[in-house]
Amino acid sequence: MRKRWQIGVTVVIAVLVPTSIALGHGDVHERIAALTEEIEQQPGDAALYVRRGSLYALDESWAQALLDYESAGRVEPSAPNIDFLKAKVLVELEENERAVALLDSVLSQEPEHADGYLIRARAHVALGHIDEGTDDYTRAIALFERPAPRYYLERARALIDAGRVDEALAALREAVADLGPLPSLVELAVEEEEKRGHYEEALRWADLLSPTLRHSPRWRAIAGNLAHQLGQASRAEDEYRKALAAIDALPPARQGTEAMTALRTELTSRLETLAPSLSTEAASAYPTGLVGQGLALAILVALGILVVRVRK
Amino acid sequence: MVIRWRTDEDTDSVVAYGADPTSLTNVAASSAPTAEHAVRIEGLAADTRYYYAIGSSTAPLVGADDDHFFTTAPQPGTARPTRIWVLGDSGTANDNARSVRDAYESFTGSRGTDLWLMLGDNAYSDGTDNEYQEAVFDMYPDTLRNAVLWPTLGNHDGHSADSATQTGPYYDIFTLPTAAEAGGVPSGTEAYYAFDYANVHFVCLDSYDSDPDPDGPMMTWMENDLAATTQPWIVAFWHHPPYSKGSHDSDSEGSLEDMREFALPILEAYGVDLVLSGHSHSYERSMLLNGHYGPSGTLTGSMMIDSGDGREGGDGAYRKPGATTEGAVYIVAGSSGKTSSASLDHPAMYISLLELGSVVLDVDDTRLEATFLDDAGSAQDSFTIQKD
Repeated sequence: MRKRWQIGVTVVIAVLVPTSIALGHGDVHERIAALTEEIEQQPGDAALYVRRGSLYALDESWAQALLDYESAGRVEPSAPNIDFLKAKVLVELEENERAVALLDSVLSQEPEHADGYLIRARAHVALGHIDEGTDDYTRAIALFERPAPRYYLERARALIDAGRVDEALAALREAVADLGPLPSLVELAVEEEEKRGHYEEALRWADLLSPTLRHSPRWRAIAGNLAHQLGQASRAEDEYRKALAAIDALPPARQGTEAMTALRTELTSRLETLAPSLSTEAASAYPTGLVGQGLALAILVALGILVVRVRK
Repeated sequence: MVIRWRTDEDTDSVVAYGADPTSLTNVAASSAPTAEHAVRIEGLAADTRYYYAIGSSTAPLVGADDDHFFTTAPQPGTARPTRIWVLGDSGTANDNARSVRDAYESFTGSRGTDLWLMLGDNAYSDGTDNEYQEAVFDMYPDTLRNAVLWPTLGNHDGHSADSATQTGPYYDIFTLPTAAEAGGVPSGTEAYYAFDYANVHFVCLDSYDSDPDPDGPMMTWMENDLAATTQPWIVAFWHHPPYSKGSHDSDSEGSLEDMREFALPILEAYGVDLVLSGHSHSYERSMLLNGHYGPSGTLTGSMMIDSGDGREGGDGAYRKPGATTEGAVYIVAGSSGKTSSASLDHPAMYISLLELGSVVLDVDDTRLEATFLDDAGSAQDSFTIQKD
């Protein structure tokens, strides 16, 4: 039994004997200097230019990164992924048309290149080609096994910036379906619904959050604000009071934080602001109350008459 | 709890577990043949030791003895003595890392480890699978068997990993929470996450490969996570230090500045107590600070909530009593595998040392004690944060 396990471990180690160390440890500039020396000794090695270019990119020295990638392409025209790397840097240099042209070529040869679609999406969006950009985001998201929340957010923000809020919200709904109701997704949706005055829809988005988050003081306060904007003063009051109760229920170390202190002040102020609205809401409910009270009085009067009659 | 192991040939995956190593009556299994086994065990009792054995449906491999056990986390909010071992930049797979490991194991002895953190650059130079084999699996086999390891991505791990797609050896090797499986709020990604252990809330950020923008998904998630936690203690960790004059300079390096300017205001607004990072190969430990978001030259006296040593036998513990929440200690603990000389003169630091070592945290109810243990087993620094 143990022998088999040890064989397993041995095999793993044997297979994974360290190969060449790709990059030494040290800061980026030291490693760039080391690679520069290597390049001087081996100017025909495209991989060295690619590695130095990647370090320049890491250092956000985009122009130098591009030069290295171009050198790699010259030294070895068949070196893999060079056009993609160049396109990535071109987007950073805001040369988006050149980036799109390169990526068109890359993607025609490698139609499953998820990163290619992603970078082309950014280039298209920067150029104002929203349809092409969102299509590319969608392709990239579909191709990535575990796409990051940020890709969904980038796509939604591109649509929002183009004034296409309905489509952005649809994209966020798709994101929630794929990733769950992450706060970054829901928060953006709530903001957009609120901006266009769709407060009930904003509240529905908030209700998607996990109970832990939805019942946190922060989201109680947001829900209260939305209800207030809807003109539902008592619903807003309920959320605000629950938010205050949630703060009171926190351990002292959490109650006194700058964030919670500011929130408590805001909630108290909002409750004060709500008071006139609550009176109006109560007053608007008065006719119903009068009917009820009148009916009760009529019943009592009728009962009194009955009692009087029985006594007689 | 997720138990992972690797075999040389594909089999199904079986974990037998129970309270007695001689009677493992419960089984969790996955029928899909694989050499990369990951079995999730559900329905465990909190704060309970379980013994286990791993293998396949045809043959057990290892376990069912006193060496193979794990202890589940206590219920969130429960005050329970907790020992946390913190390693930064430990991935050298050499005698330095071994001596730091041995010093800690000798220090902790039978007390054991409740959980451990790796602050990035866990496997040099590129975080490849074979480098992880040497720097992590071959280096810490005993601790790996018994305590949950919570890592963050360093720049060297990031050479071979991509946070946006959660691919590469780092993401293949670790199973990390994306849907608040261990507490906190769902992040939707393994790149940054939160978890609770006893009365401590841990927040792990990705300072290398995730957008640090204050309006980006990581910081938005963190603010919501912090707004929802009810835990008395908050400990945050990531790779790039917000304050350092070690082998990296927080006054001039973008990732360090980003984390200081973007993450710290949110963390401090929600009362963070301790921030751990690595990257610089030294030990640097701050005073109790609040509100220092600029370069080192902008540090003022009002930002030093307590400029003492934080030691009960010295200037006194750092105190955050009752609803007093201002003040956090910032530790750079990037010397668990190597040291790299530098000026080590950041004015926010109470102490800066060019020594190999690791950090040991002991949290007990309202008290947090931190010790920097060098590779010879000597405590070179310590401080206490007291909350009552």
